[in-house]
Amino acid sequence: MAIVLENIKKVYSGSKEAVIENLDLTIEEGSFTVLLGPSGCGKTTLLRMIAGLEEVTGGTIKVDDEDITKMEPGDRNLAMVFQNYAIYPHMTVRGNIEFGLKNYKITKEKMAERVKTVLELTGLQEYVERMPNQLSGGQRQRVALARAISKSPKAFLMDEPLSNLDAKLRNQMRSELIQLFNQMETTFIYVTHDQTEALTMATDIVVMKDGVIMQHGAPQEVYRNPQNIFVAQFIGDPGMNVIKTKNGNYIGIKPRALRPVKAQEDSLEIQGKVLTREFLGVDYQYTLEIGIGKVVMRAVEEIAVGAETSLYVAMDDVFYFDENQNRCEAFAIAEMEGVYRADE
Amino acid sequence: MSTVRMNEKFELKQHGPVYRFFNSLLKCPYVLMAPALITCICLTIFPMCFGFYLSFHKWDPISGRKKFVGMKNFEYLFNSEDFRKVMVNTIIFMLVTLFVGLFIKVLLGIFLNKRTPLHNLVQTVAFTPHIIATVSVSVIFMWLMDPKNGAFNFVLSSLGLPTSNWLKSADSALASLLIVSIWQTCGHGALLVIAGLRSIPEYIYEAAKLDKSTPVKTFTKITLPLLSPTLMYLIITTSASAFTSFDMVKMMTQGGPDNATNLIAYYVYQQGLMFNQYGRAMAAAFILFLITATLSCVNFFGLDRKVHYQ
Repeated sequence: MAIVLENIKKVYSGSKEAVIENLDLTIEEGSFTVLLGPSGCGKTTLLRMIAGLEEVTGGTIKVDDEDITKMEPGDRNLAMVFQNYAIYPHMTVRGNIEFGLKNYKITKEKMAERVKTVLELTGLQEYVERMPNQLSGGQRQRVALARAISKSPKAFLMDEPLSNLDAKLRNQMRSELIQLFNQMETTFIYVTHDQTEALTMATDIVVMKDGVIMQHGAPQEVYRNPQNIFVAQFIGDPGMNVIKTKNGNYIGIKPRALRPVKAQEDSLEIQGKVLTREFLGVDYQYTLEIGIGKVVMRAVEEIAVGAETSLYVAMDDVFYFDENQNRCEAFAIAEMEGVYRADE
Repeated sequence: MSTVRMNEKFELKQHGPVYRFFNSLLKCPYVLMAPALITCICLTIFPMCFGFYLSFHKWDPISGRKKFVGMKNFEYLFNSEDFRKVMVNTIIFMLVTLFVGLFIKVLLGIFLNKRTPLHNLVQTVAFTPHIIATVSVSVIFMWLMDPKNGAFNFVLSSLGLPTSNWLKSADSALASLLIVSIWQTCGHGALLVIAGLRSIPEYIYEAAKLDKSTPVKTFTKITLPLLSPTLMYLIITTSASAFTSFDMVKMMTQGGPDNATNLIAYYVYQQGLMFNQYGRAMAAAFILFLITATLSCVNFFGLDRKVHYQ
C-alpha cells in the first residue's frame, strides 16, 4: 500500500501565504518514512493532512489508489501517535485502547484478544487498570502506541512521539520502535526535527524546508550524497562545512573529512587557527578560523586552543555545489587565500 | 540598638527588647492564626451557637425578655402549614435552578465557546446580569412582568399567545421567580463552562476523531467527564444558593401571593424581623443550616468519586 500525495497545497485559513505550495510525494508500502526538517517546514502540517486533521487546500491524497482527500479522519484507517500522547486522561489504559475499538464494531472476543496482544507487544500488561496520571512519560507513550496498534491501521502516523521523553528513554524507545516496525510490516510515517532519530530509524528520509522537499532517499543516500547545501548542513552532527568560492559556487567538507594530518596525496590544504575545542569522549570537536570563515572539525588528535595548524581534506571527500546551492560536477576550485591544493 | 563588632567587614545588628518580644511572639503559631481565628469566632461561630441557643427560647430583643421553651419552636415549624409550603417551594426552586439552570449553562457555554469577536461580545453581554445588583434586576423584571403594562405580556399578546399574570398569580409566581434567577446566573455559569471546555486540550478531540468517535459519543464520553470539575463546582454553588436566595423574593413578591414564592431564607427574615419571633426564626435557620450542610457533604463526597480531576 502506497500513500501518494499529488500537487498538495496548504494555506491556513486567515493567512495569505501557503505553508506548502505544491508538493508531490510517494510513500512506499512498508517503508519507515521520516519527514525531517526544521520547525515551520510544513512536515507536521503534511502529516496532519494525511491523518485528515487538517484540510487540504489543493491536490489529492491517495491510499491504495483510493482518494481519501475529503474522507473523515476516522474512516481513513490510519492511526496517529501525538507528540503529547493525547491519551484520554479519564480512562484507564484498557479504556484508552478499547474506546477506539468499540467504534469499529468488532466482536467482544476479538476485541479482548486484540487488547491482550497489544498489551503484550507494548509490555503494559501490569498497568491495564491504571489511570494515565499513575503512569510515567514512557509508559504513557506506550499507551498511545498500544492504542494505535490495536486498530491494525494501514499506516502509523507519528508526530514527534519521542520529543517529550528524556534522552535515555528516547534512545530506548527508538530501538523499541524499530523492533515494532519490523514486527508490524506496516507503513510508518514519522515526523521529527531530530536528524539522529531520522538516520537511525528510517528506511526513507524526506528532508523538507519551507514546504518543499529538498531530498528524498534512504538514510545512507541522504547522509552520503546530499543533493544541496541545505541537506548537507542539516544532516550530520555537526553539519557540513560549506565554503563559498570566488566564482560564486560552493565546496563542502564534512567535519570528519577534515584532518590535521595529510593522509592522501591529492588533498586540499587549509590554514586555520583553533578557536574552541570540545571534548566528546571518542574525539574532539574543533572550531577553526580559516580566514574566509569558520569550519568545524571532528578529530581524535589533540591540538591546543589558539594553535595555528594546517588542515587537510582528500579531494575525493570534497562536495561541489553550484551557485544555486545544488550538487554539481567537480569544478576547479578558484584560488582562495589559505586554501590550496597540497600537491602543488 | 547596639551593634556587635564581628570584624572589620561585618557588623551584626542586635535588636532591642521590644523587637525581640514581638519577634518571639511571632514564632508562636497561635499568634499568627489569631486574626483569622478571632474574626471567625466572632462573626461565624459565635452567631451560629447563639442562634442555635436562641432556637430553644422565646426571645424579644426589644424588651430583652427571654424564656426557655424547649423544642416548642421546632414543634411549631413542623406543624405549620406555611413552613411546609416554604420547604416545598425551596426544594422546587433548588431542583429547577440546579437541573434546568445547569442544562442551560452547559448549552450556552458550548455555543459561546468560540474565539470570534462576536462570541466574545455575546459572552460579555451574557455575563453582565451577574454583576448587576439583584435589586436592579428585580425592579426591571417587575416592570417586564407587569400583567397590564409589562413588556412580556405585550409581546405575547401581539404574537397571539396567551398572556400570564406572572408574579401576581400564585400559579405562576414561583416559575416567574425561577426565570429571573436562572436568567441572572446563566451567563456566569456559562463562562465557567467555557473556561472548563477550554482547559480540555484540542489534541484529545483529534485523537477521538481518529478513533472514529461520533460527535455525540465525544460529548458524552470525553467532554462531559473532563468538564466534571466545573460541573461539580456549579452543582454545589447552585444548590447552596437556592437555600439562601433572599433579595429577589424580598424585592419582587415578599413571599406572596399566598406564600407561593416564600423561600426559607425569606421565611427566617419574616419570622424574625417582621413578626418579632426570633426563636422560630432561629429554629428555621438551624434547619436551613442542617440542610445546606448535608447537601454540601453529599455533593462533596458523593460526587467527588465521579469527578475526574486532571
